Parts: sequence; structure tokens; C-alpha cells
Amino acid sequence: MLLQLAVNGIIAGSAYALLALGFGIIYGTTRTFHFAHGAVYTLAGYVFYHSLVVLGLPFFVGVAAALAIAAGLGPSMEQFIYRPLRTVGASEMEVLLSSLGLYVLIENLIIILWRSDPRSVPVAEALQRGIQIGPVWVTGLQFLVLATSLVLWGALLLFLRRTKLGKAIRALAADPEMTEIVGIDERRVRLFVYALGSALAGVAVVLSAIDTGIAPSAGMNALLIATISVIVGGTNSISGGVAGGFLIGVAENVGIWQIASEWKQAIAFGLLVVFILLRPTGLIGPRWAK
Amino acid sequence: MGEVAGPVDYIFYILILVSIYAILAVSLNLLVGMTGLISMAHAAFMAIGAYTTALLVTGTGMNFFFTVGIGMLIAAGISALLALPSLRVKGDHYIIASFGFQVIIISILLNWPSLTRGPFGIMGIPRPRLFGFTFASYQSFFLLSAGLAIVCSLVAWRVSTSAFGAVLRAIREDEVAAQSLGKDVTRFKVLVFVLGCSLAAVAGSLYASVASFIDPFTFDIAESIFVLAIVIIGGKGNVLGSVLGAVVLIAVPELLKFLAVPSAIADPLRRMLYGMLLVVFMRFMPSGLLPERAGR
Amino acid sequence: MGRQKTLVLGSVLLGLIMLGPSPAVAQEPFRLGEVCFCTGPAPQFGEYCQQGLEMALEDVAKEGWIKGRKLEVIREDCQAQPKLGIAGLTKLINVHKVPAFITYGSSIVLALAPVAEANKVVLLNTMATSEKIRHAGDFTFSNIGGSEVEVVQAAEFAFKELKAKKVGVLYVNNEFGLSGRTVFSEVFGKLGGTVAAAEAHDIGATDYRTQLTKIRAASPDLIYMYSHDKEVGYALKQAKQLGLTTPWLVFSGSSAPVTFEIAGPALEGVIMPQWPFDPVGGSAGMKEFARRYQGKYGKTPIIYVATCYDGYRLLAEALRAGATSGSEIKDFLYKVKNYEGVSGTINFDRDGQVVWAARFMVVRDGKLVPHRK
Repeated sequence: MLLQLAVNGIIAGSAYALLALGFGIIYGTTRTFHFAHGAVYTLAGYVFYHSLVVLGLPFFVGVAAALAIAAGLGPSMEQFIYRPLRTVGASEMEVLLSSLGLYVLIENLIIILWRSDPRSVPVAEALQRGIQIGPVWVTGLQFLVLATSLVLWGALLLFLRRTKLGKAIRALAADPEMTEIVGIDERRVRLFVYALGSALAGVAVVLSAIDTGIAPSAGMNALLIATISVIVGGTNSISGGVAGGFLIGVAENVGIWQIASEWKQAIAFGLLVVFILLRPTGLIGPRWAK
Repeated sequence: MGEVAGPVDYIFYILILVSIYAILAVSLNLLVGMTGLISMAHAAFMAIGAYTTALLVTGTGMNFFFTVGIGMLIAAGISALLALPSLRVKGDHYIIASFGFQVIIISILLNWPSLTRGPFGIMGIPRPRLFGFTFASYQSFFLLSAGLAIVCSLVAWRVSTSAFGAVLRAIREDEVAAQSLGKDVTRFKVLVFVLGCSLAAVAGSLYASVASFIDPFTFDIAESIFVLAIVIIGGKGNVLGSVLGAVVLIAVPELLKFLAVPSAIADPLRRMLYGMLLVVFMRFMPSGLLPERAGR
Repeated sequence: MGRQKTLVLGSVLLGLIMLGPSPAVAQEPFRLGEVCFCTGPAPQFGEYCQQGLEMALEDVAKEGWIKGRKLEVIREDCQAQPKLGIAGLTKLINVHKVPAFITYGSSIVLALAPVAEANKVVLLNTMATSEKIRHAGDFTFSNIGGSEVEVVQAAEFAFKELKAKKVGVLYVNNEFGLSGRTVFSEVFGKLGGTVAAAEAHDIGATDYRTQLTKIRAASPDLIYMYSHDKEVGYALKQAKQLGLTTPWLVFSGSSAPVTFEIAGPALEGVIMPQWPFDPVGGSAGMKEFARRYQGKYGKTPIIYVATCYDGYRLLAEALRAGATSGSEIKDFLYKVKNYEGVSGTINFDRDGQVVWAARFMVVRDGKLVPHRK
């Protein structure tokens, strides 16, 4: 059983890592606690569900629609809500509260449009058959989640290190004031970061929807996990969030080996509190000097 | 359970809710509005008061008023424990930590059935009694809840206008500066955190007695967010503003629900309104309905 | 500043207007209430009851209403949360002055029963099965078989017919689920079997891998799942993915179409008890009801539609017999004898519970057929 739980944990961890990638790139670069990221995630999930199950569109059209909506919505929030707030000198708290307001607004809009019971997306049935490997059972879909998160992680790292835009992003994260001087168009970079992070959320929610469906509260849960992973792993590096995600996934699933399953969520938050109090810089300490 | 005779009683029920949320709002305002500590755990401390009262009254028959005191002590103790280490962290991390506390505390209430009856909650919580008089009707209960709301508001107002409150505001504006002036910033933050959370417990005790039923889900993160919205929209740092915020965000939608009927949509629609108000207020009226200096 | 204030107040007003169409004008029809699961984690139950209600009102209307006076049912949404249920019931009693109401969900029924009792209003439960409901009050009735009957029979069936010695129990974490687990453990234990593992899950959950992994580790002969329709579907599906071959015995409500939709082939061979309601092989009344439902909604009705239909028809009969207050309706219900409802023949025992026996079915080729040894 322990081995199966550990495998469950790694798979769950890779899903969390994927969430951490999306949220982390936004938070790490802009230092904005983009609460509404959860709403972008959920809405993309419902667009995917609606395209496939209600409208009967092909699989890739649904995925494309979800990614498009996400990549459009995220930057719109930056452009039309966060930026104007910053221009009038709003404090961090005020930006956070409006992000919270956006989240509540969109989550309840989703409830009005689709009601609040969980919806399943019955596709890719072949991927969901169990395969036995030794004493452990996994599904093709779970492999896909693991592979996707590792591939995207690698791709993101390469992008940040090798491309001009990637370096501009890292510059912005390290020292926002400096970027103006050096000639980087801070506005465009920010919008791109939001689009990228939101698209990553779109990928994550599509995979999650195929596995266990979508519900209006999905975004809140995803956001919390992403936040915990990023903080536990270290807010200053993408790899930190990924490491944090895997740690949480494994800890949750292996933790309930001895503890009753009801405490699963509390384990994640317990880890969070421990890290915040004892090691706020996370597993992987500061890399971009502030 | 209280004699219920007609629409007038229902209006008093709403007024009772307003007074309970007013207590929550003025106490959270001490943290958020005055000190700049955004706490997402206020509902959890309300839960502590509610469960203390519910368990003690149904289990041992203790008088409501004693349970309020005990609830406040427990809330004070837990908040002091949580406050000390967590106040070393700033800004976003503090918010997330408070999120964590909220989830953990509710998780404990949910998953410790031998103490709290877990997800099934506690039912049949009786109304408070004082010297032989039972606050059974909504009218009489309202006198109790309004009275406690006034007391809590006066406490908050006193803090607000005192030297203590001035230091809190200084901490909110620039913590480093306040520290350099020789103020023990941590001590102030812990004190205000403990005070705010204890008052939240009072609101919880009241709620348990009027609702006669509580479960862990009653005090979830959505509640914390709701109280935060009241504080912000009412006006941070303004005690009267918090009361006004409670009136606006509770009474008005309730009275409208009175008239309109499609309850399937009314709830999410109402919450959409809160979200929209938060966004709009942050953009155009960030100091809320009643700005800080007006009513203190 | 002025313009900003106007904008804010304008948006406040706009928001408030969004909430309120014109006020309802009161007439003088009979009024009954329902505390429903209209939104929230399990709105399918609200939907079943709405369908039952619609068909019942159609029939009552065809009979000329209740001696010419119309019947109106006001539904308050509780989203499966007791605190909202109490608020909704308060409104139904104070504002709409209903003498009786229908509700469901064990947690809701148990939370509302004291309020109904204190206000002398009849609570008719059409779906909840907790064994505690029997003792919840004089004014509380159930026209659905309770777990103290179904689970007892299930435990006996598991031990005697299925020859299981070790069972793993998977249940939903609320009053309903816990009652199933408690009663099963008691009865199965008395017979000589053991409950090797008991795992809980939240209502509306879609991920059961953790619980299933732990249950598998206990090597049970049988898995007994006492939970709602969708949840059973997800659990069965994931059990198959995890390669679990242990046989399953599940709650009667799993005959719902949505369980089949979610679980698909994973339902094959699963056993469940069913109440007398049988849309395919039951009485003429049941078959006619099923035909009519099929015509309206395009699928086979599940038992909860039938119990809600019967519930509303019964209450209408009480009103027709001149019982207008809660106490009078209560007396009427206790005196009901062999009422032929579409959910079965209805008689209430001393505790206000309907008296029914369960029959055991198994899923073969996607259909429920009687279980034979």
C-alpha cells in the first residue's frame, strides 16, 4: 500500500507542480498576489467542459478554447484592473482585495451559468484504464500529467534562460525599477507573464477535468495548493514551486498512511504554516537578489 | 427554539444577524483597518466562540454568559499562540498563514468528532438565560445581541481614539519607522490580534444561540472573506463604518430576498455583488463608505 | 470625488436591482413548502423533487385542485447546508405560514426536525435515511425506507447470501453516510463478521484513490459503499482503474442514471438493494408513472422522483380531507392505510416511518436484474 500511496503522491505532486508553475511565474515576476488566478483556472475548466460535453466539439478545439480564454482573461485583469489601481497609487492590500473581489465575482458567475454540482468530462477513456506495474496501478492519464508537468517545467526553464523575452522576465522579477532604465517595456512583459501563467493554468485544469471533473470551487483549491507549493518551495524560483508541489503531493498521500484520510488537506496547510514560520524563503532559498 | 409569529420576527432575525456581523466587522477592523494585518481566519475564531458556547451549554448546562467568557479566553489563548511566531512574517505571507490557520482550525473542528461531533454539528442549542429570564423571542434576543454589539463597538472605538490606536496606525503606515521610534511593534501586533480574535468569539457565541445549530461548514473561508468585505466596504479604520458595512451587506440583500423569489440564483447573484463591490470600491473608494477620520 | 461616489452608488443600485424583480402578489391558494437542494454540491436531488412536484401538481390540477382552491409550493434552497435550511424553514414558517413541508438529506432533516416540532409543522422526508430520523419527532414523517431497514437487510444479505466475512466500508461524511456505517458495523459484527476498514469521503468528492488504496490494503471480501449516486459512480470507476477486483454492495440510490453515466462498465456485477419502486416490473401505477416520466424527461425515473410525487399527493390528500393545520395533517398521516402511491404501498408506523421491505438486485449488461444465488 505504501508504494501505491507514494506513487499517488508523485502523480498528485506533478499536478501541483504544474499549478505552481502558472501561479509562480506571475507571483515571482510581478509580486502581485493574483487571487483571481483561481477564477481563470476554473473558468477555463468550464469552457473546456462546455465545449466538449455540451457543444460536442472535438477534443483539441475544447483545449484550444480553454487555453485561449485563460490566456486572454489573465492579462485583461492586469490591464484593466491591476494597472489602473497601481497608477492611482493603490496599496498592495487594495490590489489583493480587488483580486479577491474578481475571484468571488467570477466564481459566482460560474455557479449561475453552470450550477454548482461537479461536472465530469468523459473523454479519453482509453487513457483512464488502469495499468499494473509491479504492485502499483496507474492510468495513462496519470502518466500524461507527470510527463506534461516535467516537460513544461523544462521548457519554461529553457525559455527563461535562453530567450530574450525570458531574460526580460527575470530582469523584471529581480529589479522592476532597473528594467525601465535598461529599456525593457515593462508593461508588455507583465502582460506576457500573465498570459503565460494563465495558459499554464489552462493546461492544468484540462488535465484535472479529464481525471476528476470540474466544480466551481476547483479554482480556490488549485490556488491554495499553488500558493502553498510556491511558498514552501521558495518564491524566488520556478523550480522552487515545482519542488514544493512534489513535496506537498507526496506528503499528503503518504501522510495519510497512518493518519485518517480526512486530514489530507490539513497536512498541506500544516506544512505551509511550518515553512512560513520557520523557513519563509522556502526549500530553495533566494536566488534573485532583491 | 423561539416563538415565531410572523414577518416582524423575521425582520428582527435579520437585525440580530446585522449585530452579530457588526461585532465581527469592528473586531476585524482593528486588525485589518487599523493595523494593516489582513487576517483570513476571523471565521475560525468565530467558530471557537460558537463551539465553546454550544458544547458547554448543551453538554453541561452552563450559563450562556459564562461560556462567552470562556470562549473569549480560548480564542485569546489560541490567537496568542498563533500570533507570536506568525507576526515575524510580512504582507502576503501573513495572509497566507492566516489562510492556513483558518483551514487548520476548521479541519480540527471537522475531524475531531468525539469533541465536536465533526461534520454533523451541534443542534438544539438553547437560548441564553439570565436571572430566570430566557431570551427566547427574536425581539428579546436582539436586545442582547445589539447590547453586545454596542459594547464591542465602544471597545473598538476606544482603541481607535487612544494612543494605542495611534501606534497601530503608525505600524500600518510604516512598520520600520514605528520600530525605529522605539515601539515594540511585535507586542502591539500580538495585543491587537488577541483582542480582535476574542471579540470574534463573542459573535460566535451569539450566533450559536440564535441559530440553534452549528457545524464546521458554517465558519468556512467564505465567511472570513465576507467579513473582510464588510470591513473594507464599510471603511477601514472606521468603527461606525464597520457597522454601516454590516447593515448594507446583510440587511439590504435580505430584505430584497424577502420580495424576490428565485432563490436558486439569489445566493450566487448576491455574492457576485460582493465581489463587484470589492473591485469597484478598491478602484474608486478605497477608504470605504465612511473614511477613516469621519466617525473614528 | 462626486463623480466617483455616483459611480459607486450607481453600481450598488445596479447590483441591488439585479436581485429583485417585482414582488410576488399573494393570493389565497393552499401553501406547502420545500427545503430543497436546489443549488450546492448535490442539486440532482432538488431536481428529482422538482420533477416529482411538477407531476404531482399537474395531477392535482386535473382533479380540480383541492375543492377549487389552488395549491402552491414554495421552495427554499438550503444547498445541503443545515444552517441555510434553518434560515429557509424560518422563512417558510414565518412568512409563508406553511403547515407542512417536504425536505431531504439526513443532516437537513435532523437539523430541521426540532424546529418543525416546536412550530407544530409537519416535516415529510422523501429521501433521507438516517436511523435517527425515526426518533426525530412526532411531526417528522418519512415516506422513504430508512437505513435502519435497508442497511440491516444489506448486512444480513452480505453475511448470509454473499458469504462475506471481512468488509471494507466507504461512506460519505455526513449524517446519512455515518448512519449507514454505524448500522452496518453493528449488525455485521453481531452476525460474526468484521469491518476491516472504514473510510469516509466528502460529499461531492471526485477523487477516491486514497480511500480505495487503504481499503485494498485491508483485503476485504466485499466493499460496502453507502454514499450518493455520483460519488458511488466515481468510486467504482477509480476502483477499476486501481485494479480492485473486490465485489461491491452499494446504497439503493445508486440505481440512478447518473451513476451509470459516470461509472460505465465499472458497475458490472455491483449489487444493490431496491425498494418496492420498480419502473419496469412493478405495479400498473408504477409503470404508468414511469411511462409518463419518460415522455416528459426522456429517461427512467428513480425512486426519489416517485417519493416526492407521492409526498406531495399525500399532503394534498390531507388538505382535501380538511386538515389545514400542522397538527391536523400529522393526525391524517398517522391514519393513512395502504395508500397506493407510485413508490409503493404506504403505511406509516408509530414513528412516522413508511413500512417497506428491500429486494436485492445486481447489474448485468448495464441493467438491474434480481440477484439470484
